[in-house]
Amino acid sequence: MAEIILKNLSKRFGTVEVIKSLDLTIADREFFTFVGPSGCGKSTVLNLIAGLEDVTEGTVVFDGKVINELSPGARDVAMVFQSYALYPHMNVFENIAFPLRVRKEKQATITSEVNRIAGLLGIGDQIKKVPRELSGGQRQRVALGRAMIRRPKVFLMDEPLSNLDARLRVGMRTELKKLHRELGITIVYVTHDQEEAMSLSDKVAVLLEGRVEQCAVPIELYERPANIFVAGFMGSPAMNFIKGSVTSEEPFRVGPGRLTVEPKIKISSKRPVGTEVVIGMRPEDVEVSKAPLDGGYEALCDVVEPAGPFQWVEFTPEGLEGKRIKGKAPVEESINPGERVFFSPAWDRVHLFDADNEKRIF
Amino acid sequence: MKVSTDKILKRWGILALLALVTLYCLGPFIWQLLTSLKAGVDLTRLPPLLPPAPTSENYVAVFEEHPFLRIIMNSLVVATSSTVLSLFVGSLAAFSLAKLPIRGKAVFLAFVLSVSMFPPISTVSPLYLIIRTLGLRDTVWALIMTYTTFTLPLTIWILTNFFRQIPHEIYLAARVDGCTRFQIFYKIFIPLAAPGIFATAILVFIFSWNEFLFALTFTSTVNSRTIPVGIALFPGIHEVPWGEIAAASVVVTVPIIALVFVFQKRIVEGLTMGALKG
Repeated sequence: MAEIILKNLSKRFGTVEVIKSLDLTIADREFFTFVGPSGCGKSTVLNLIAGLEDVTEGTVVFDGKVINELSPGARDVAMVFQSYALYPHMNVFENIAFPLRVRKEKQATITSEVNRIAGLLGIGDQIKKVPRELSGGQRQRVALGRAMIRRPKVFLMDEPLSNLDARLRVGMRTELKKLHRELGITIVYVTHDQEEAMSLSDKVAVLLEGRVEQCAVPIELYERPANIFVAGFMGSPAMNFIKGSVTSEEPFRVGPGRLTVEPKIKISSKRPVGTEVVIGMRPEDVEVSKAPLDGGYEALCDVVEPAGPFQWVEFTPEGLEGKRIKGKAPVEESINPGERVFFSPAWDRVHLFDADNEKRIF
Repeated sequence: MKVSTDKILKRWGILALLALVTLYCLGPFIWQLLTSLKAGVDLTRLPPLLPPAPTSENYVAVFEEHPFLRIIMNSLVVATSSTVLSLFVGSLAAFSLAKLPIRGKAVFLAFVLSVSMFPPISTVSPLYLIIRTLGLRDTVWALIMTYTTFTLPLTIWILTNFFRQIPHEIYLAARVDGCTRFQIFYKIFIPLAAPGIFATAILVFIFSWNEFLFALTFTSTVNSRTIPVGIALFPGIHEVPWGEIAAASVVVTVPIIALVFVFQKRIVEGLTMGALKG
């Protein structure tokens, strides 16, 4: 039960400014994710919320109370770490019981609580084992249990799934989402994996070099990225970018040379002819075929990657030598590298960015 | 079949080498043991190597003709107290140096190390003056203080390294779980660094048990005399009682060997725990 507000939050290590005046509100019971490439400061934000690092400037507010000066233990937060950070010398029971022991709870309470949590997480029969005897997934559960047992106001998670193998990671993702619904608490999550961020979160903040590039619900990040960085970071495979310029205002057309695009989208602020722009299109919005497509362009196929239900095709558009674009073709199309193909972007799903400030144009 | 002969030769070669090293290390102790069981003229005769008539009279003499029990007690008190004190102060210092945000850690560690670079002989006179001023001459406290000081650099360095090896996330996890820094120290770090602590304890204990120079300088009576000085003062005006010296040496070596064996088990346990990656 906690709303977290970060006001003008800054963190400097020496002269290096890791977090640059962050302003964010994390709503009560929200699954909020910080995502960004390594070194963007996402773990530091988490440590500032937890109280593991001192704030240089600004405030951290929990439910209307400034908690800058509170020690981590007094903030009523629980944290799950990437390496799980279990206590190697204690068995599973003692690991989960540890926060209660520190609080000097009664033994009877501890026993019943630990057993309840262990049962909930499906590690009831592992309770006597020590961490080194557990698999990665089981250690992850113990770490979750240790965090859950305190019934904290806020759950902080620092890349909790990235040490697991791919299959387990997807499974635990579903479980985390379920857990969030059942516990009904605020979760602040940190990851470098945009897919994880999209699938788990209610809201995502994309961080770059200590600044929030965009903070929105996942679908908005995907459909209306605020700038080139967010557009390129969210979504896999990454968005295709083509440099171009405005060729005509009415109808609004952009393009490099022959590849002229007429975005069928509402443009609030049209740009004069000659303005440098960057056209962005997601690979899944680019249709590729061996047969000529209506309104399509010619290209030369470079690479084909089968992906099961469809295949990714990387190609070089005619007249844009040296530029590679990725698109999607049905499995039935037998396309081979070196062959002539046709591609057609979905015009209503094309993104336009200002080439100077890299911001979204419409 | 040539290969297998080679292998056999190799194995025997290794065994011979091991035997040689063992003999080299254990030789003096075995010699001491044999001497302690000899009496009278046998002491100075060779051959026979083995005592022709093994006797326990040297052992009886050590305890009956000298206040050796008291001396052993002094040594036990001094070595145990020094070990406990050195580990207590040293582990706290090491924890702070390894995990807490303190300025000038590297300088401090270098300074600590430089303290241990002074040869004891150069500090013995000033230390004597200090101890005389404090009125601690001929007390076990003089030795406990000195040994604690001299072993602290070693303790701090070994334990700082051990604590540094403990992943930082474990420290952070304990902070979030509500531990104070001191609770983290004794609930998490001490148990995890147990192998290092035992190893350090053995080294400090052996140093204090064997130390001769300070013990000779700061003690004058049986009130505070420790084993190395006690044995050195065995020789009378007319004769050197080799048998008794040997017997006393054997007696005081046995506890050290026992100690090492007991702790060695713990050290191996700790090292094979290998769960620090959690």
